[in-house]
Amino acid sequence: MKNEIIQIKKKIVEASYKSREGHIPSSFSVLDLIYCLFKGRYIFSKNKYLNNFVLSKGHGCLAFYAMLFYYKKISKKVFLSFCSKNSILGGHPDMNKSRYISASTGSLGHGLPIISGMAFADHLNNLKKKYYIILGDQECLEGTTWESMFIINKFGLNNLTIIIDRNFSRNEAIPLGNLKKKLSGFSKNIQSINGHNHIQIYNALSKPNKSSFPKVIIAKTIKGNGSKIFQHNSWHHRFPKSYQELNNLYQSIKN
Amino acid sequence: MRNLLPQILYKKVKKNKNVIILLGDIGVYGFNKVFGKSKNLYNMSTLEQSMMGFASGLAINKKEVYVYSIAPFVVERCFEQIKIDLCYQKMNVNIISCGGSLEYSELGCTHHCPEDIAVLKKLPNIEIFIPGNNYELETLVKQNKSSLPSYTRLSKNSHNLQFKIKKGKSNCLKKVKSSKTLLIAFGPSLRFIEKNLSDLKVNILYYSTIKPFDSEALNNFKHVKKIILIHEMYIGSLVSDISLNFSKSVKIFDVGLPVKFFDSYGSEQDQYKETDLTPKKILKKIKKVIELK
Repeated sequence: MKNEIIQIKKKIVEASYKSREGHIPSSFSVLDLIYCLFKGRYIFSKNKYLNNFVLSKGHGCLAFYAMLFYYKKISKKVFLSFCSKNSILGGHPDMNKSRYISASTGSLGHGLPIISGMAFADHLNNLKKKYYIILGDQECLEGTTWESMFIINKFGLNNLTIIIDRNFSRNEAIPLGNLKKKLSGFSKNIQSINGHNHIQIYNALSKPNKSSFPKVIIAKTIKGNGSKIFQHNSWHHRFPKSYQELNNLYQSIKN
Repeated sequence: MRNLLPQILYKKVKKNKNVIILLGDIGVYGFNKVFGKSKNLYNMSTLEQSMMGFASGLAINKKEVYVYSIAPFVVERCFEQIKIDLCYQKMNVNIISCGGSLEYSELGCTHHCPEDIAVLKKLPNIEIFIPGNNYELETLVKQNKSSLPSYTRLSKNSHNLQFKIKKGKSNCLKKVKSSKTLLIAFGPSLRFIEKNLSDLKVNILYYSTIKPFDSEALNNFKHVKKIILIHEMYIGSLVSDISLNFSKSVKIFDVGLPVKFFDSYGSEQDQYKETDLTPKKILKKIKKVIELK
């Protein structure tokens, strides 16, 4: 498993190197969460579960694309076409380009209202499908996050799991403070976990939700997790510039 | 039009149980009266941005959605949601607004919206309608079978002329071959000149669809030298749609609202009087333009 994650991270770095684009540290931040959603068959396991995941922090999409490649949903050629002209995989996901992309995200604060509408449509049709969304913690500053929580409560959307990638990356700007406490008015089902510990992630995902509230998982993560180099702020939106740098980055990736 | 809307959408719901109506805390009483207890109608209160994203999520899962609220709140408040969640994603969400332009003049500039159409028509993938009366509203909603997002601006004002309209097409109300002037009216603004139609010796076109813009209709008027636009939006809102279809020698006279905040309260009529947007003043302007060489 550790080895798998390292290999996927290297693929992320390779795609960024080839395209001279991408947000590598943000992708490393959410990779374990997306990996567990795939591996635990919460998303994309069957056709009826095709559209039940939204990566609201769209800039972390390389992690998602790498998982689509890893699970053979897309070819290597498609994966490495990342951000090139006419690629179906852009710097932020476009729902009209691939059936595995449920919403076009990139501008923060759009994913939660959209997935709430999707979950409510199924609720109306008495479908038992479950929905998963990953929000960035900074994204929680967007007003729509809190507006959506009111909507989710009003319609009792307990078929929704909200995972927050809590990496504190912009904590010095406007701090979110005690997020669990702040969200506790909207859900009685909030779990705080280590977002890189797969056992903790699986436990949180598999725990049944018997309440009428959405399941909220606050996953404490490290931006650029697994590589000291990527943990530096300067890497937010930067790509490996030379073959030598690429190799150095490969060497730096540990689990 | 506002009173008729619940009935029109109720008919839609009866035919298709996948139709969902979201209200931005407006028209609630009227809708409840027509719908009773319904799984197809929800008052989403005052969270317009999320309401629009929520609507697009419903549409992703095959619902046909109608979102209704006051123009500034359902257009500008959630402009990015319209751009991304609806237009970019190509969602079947139909926005319907009331109180466009200065219809809520008394309530102050926070409630005015003479720029809704100018703002929205710059977005790709959206269709825009401006029905001139109840019949046109019903026809446009009925004929709108597109899965793309749309915007329909309801008005408390109507024109009283009766002619058939078709979504996406303009109506040629008068063709005077000898006249070098073309008059174009949009939606309810046709009421300003409806009584003078027979006296005016000019070509007259009428638009109830703004986007896609029926440019083809303008081909019949390539000989004109002067074009007068009559509408209740900010001046300039529609000029490019017209001017792109004519050579430079055509002069456009834009009769609408000046680009400013109408911050003196009073009724819509008070404001229109002050800006010369009355049948009498408009007729005078038209005559002046006709006489121009």
